[in-house]
Amino acid sequence: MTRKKTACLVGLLGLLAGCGNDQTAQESLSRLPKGKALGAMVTAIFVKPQPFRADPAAVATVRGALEKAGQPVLLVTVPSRGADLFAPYGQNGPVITWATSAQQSIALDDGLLVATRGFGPDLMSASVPSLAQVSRATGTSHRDYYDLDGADQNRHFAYDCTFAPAGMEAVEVFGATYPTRKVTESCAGPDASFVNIYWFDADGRLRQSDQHATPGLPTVQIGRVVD
Amino acid sequence: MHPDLNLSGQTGLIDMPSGEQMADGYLSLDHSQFGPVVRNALRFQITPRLSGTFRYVGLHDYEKHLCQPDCADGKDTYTYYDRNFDISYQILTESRFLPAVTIGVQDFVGTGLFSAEYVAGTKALGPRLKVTGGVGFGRLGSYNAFGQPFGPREKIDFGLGGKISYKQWFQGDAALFGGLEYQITPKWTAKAEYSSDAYAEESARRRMFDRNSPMNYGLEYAPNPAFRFGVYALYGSEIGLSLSATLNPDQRPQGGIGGPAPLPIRPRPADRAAWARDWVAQPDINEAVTRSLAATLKDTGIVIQSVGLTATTAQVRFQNTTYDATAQAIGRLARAMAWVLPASVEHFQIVPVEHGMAGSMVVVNRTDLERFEFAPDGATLLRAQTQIKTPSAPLSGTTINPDPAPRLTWSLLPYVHTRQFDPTNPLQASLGLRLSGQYDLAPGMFLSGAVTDVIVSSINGSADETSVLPHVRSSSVLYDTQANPDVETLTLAYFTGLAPNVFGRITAGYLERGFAGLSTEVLYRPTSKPWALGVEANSVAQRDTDGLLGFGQYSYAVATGHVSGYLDLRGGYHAQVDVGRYLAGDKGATLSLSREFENGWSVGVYATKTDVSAEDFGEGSFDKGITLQIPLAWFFGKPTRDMRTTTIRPIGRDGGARLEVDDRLYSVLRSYDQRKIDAQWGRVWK
Repeated sequence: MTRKKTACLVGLLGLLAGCGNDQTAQESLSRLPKGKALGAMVTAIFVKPQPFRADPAAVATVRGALEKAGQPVLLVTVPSRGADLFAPYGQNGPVITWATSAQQSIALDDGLLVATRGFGPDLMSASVPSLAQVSRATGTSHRDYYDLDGADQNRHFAYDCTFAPAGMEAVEVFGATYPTRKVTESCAGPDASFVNIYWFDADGRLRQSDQHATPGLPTVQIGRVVD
Repeated sequence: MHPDLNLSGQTGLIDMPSGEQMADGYLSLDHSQFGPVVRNALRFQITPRLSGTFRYVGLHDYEKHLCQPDCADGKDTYTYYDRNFDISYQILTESRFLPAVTIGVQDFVGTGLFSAEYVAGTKALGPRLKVTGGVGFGRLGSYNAFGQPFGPREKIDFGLGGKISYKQWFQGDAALFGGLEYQITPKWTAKAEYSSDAYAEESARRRMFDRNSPMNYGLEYAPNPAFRFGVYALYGSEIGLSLSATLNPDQRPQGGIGGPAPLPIRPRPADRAAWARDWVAQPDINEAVTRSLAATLKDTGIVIQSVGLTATTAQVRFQNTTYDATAQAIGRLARAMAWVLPASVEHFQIVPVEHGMAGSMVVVNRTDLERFEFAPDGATLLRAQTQIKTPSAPLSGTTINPDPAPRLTWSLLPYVHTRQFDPTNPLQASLGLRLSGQYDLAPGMFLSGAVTDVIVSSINGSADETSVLPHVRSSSVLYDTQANPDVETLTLAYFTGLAPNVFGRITAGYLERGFAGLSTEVLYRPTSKPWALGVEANSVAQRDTDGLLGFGQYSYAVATGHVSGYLDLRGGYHAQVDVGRYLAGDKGATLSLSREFENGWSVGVYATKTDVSAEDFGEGSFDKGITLQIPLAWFFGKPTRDMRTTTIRPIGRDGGARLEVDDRLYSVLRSYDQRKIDAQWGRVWK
């Protein structure tokens, strides 16, 4: 007997699992919160989640391996959800789609976030300024964001933004530290306001950025680990 | 401050109603108890101003005082149960100087034990204080009445129930009520009220509790907008508790749907001259494309049925087993087609197939997929260039996927079956295992069945032998208690398109627990119209209550069928009318009205009136109920087509009973009409 079959039979005895090959029928059962998960759900109502912390030794080992492989890699961090490494997945014109093995993706137009997928409250599409304009650290831009609400209806958010230089700052991206020039883009709209932050390294490359996506995904931090 | 629900499950203070309404579309479940009074209520905000409530009330110790000294047959522990329907309408919304004002009618069909009418106004005074005042009639005019402004109230003649008691409305004694709500912190609220309900029956006559004071006090805690707990000091003698859960069907709590990211669009080389066209002549090209599409879509739940190709057009027929939004399945398939198909193929004809029937055809241009993938508001731009229409014939040379989904699907799962509103024990349940399976014999032809085996059960009761009609439903408890194992269904079904927009179904075998026979149906459903028309004719016989395959017990056979009209009204409302002959041979019509949310939720009511007299029908006078359709994607935040449908039928009797047959055509094809695809079109890029 395979492990799956054993698991289904054992689970069935406890009325917590099903057997068979009808995915739709079993899906609801397999997703029912059980025991510990149920406790966690109740706790989550009352307690705020703790921020994510990585182990420096593990980071150094992984970074070494990634640099050796030589493929471009991004570190994408979403506060309260954790961080993951993203690799190039596709390109359409200037827009590159980066994805994780966990089947999440982000799309960057010359480094600026224009879409996310697989996060849930995804950014469906956006109009964004050019990277050159960001780098100039002066002037204004208009942003249009589109997402879907909990009824799958299209929502449009418009923001007016102002660029400003924010001095020099050393940033650490996945275990490596870079001296950078920091630029802020302060955006305000009818529904919300936020600040996008960009860190340009000594080569003028966008090393790291904090970019707004949607109300449910307020900030996505994108760091370039391997160029 | 949010509006709260009172002990009756109505917007209000503690035991008194208020002038408020909940937010549009909100669905609330409310449980409360004080002393001998237990109330459970389901409330739905039908429109921004109109709400409906169904309440099930239990009064413990109902005969304990009156039966003295001879309380035989358990009279001293008897609990009286009653079903109430309320409706309320907000005539004035709150503004800077004016309060919100609601007119409400409580328990307006049935025995009228809880009948009351009221006009209540509520005004916020600053961000933390609300004040409510109102005038009540009936039960709400029973304490400290100031007079009878609209004349005396006639005693209600409820007969067998089910009558609307409009003659009593706003008649008889009127009294004032009111109170205050103060928000201590965003999660804690304190309340105080003056109640105009004398509880004359429960307190003065039946001595179930002492009503010593008209004043009630309460403290409520809401850890989040979905839940609220309350504790109360009531009528100077009792402690009360309440728990309410409120959800907004319109919005999944997680917002946008989750699930794995899609394949990116793979753009074609810019040089059009280099796009080969001679690949069309390759032998087995359709098979090769079918294989690569299937491989690309592995684990997505999209099953390729057939592929037809010309140098510029591809028609792919597929089955969507995963996505609650058809648009998302279409988008996923379009992405796979852009990944796999030769560059010269520009027109994608995407045909969702359900039960062997082509539901509609979505025609997408590949150029639009390429240029709108990351365009701001790309979904709207893509939709403008996309057609949703009646499917055209398969392209010549179309190849059927030789290796689609497994032909045999089966599952063995635990299930819970409930029996509600039994007068002695209103909630009974059984837990068991259900083995169900389906074998696909040919496109659109299925052999399927389900067998259950009860493990534990609290269901008991005997059939209502008083019904003068054939016992088509009044014997249902016998199936609950005697059928174990139970062959719920065992059918051979065939579904097919008969002509453009015309669909047919034949189902033969053990159709439902109570009946077996032949069911046939034809549906005319134009893809881009909001309406559909159907005819169903069935010839069935009543099954034995042992759950096996025999018919000897009742020797009852009937020809039953309906003409059905379906109309998708604007604003998410849906109407259905069925006219025909019901299981007991009675003739009549069913009207169903529901509010449908884009994400698949539906909340509805129905009423059936047939030529059976109220006397012959029995308690309730006619069949009516509440229907709920709950998409599990709403709870999980991930795509799944799994749905729960439930019918709350306060009294199930033999009149107006309809044959239950799986997969009626309208519901099978519903996800694929233009309106339903458009309702979730944004998901095309998900």
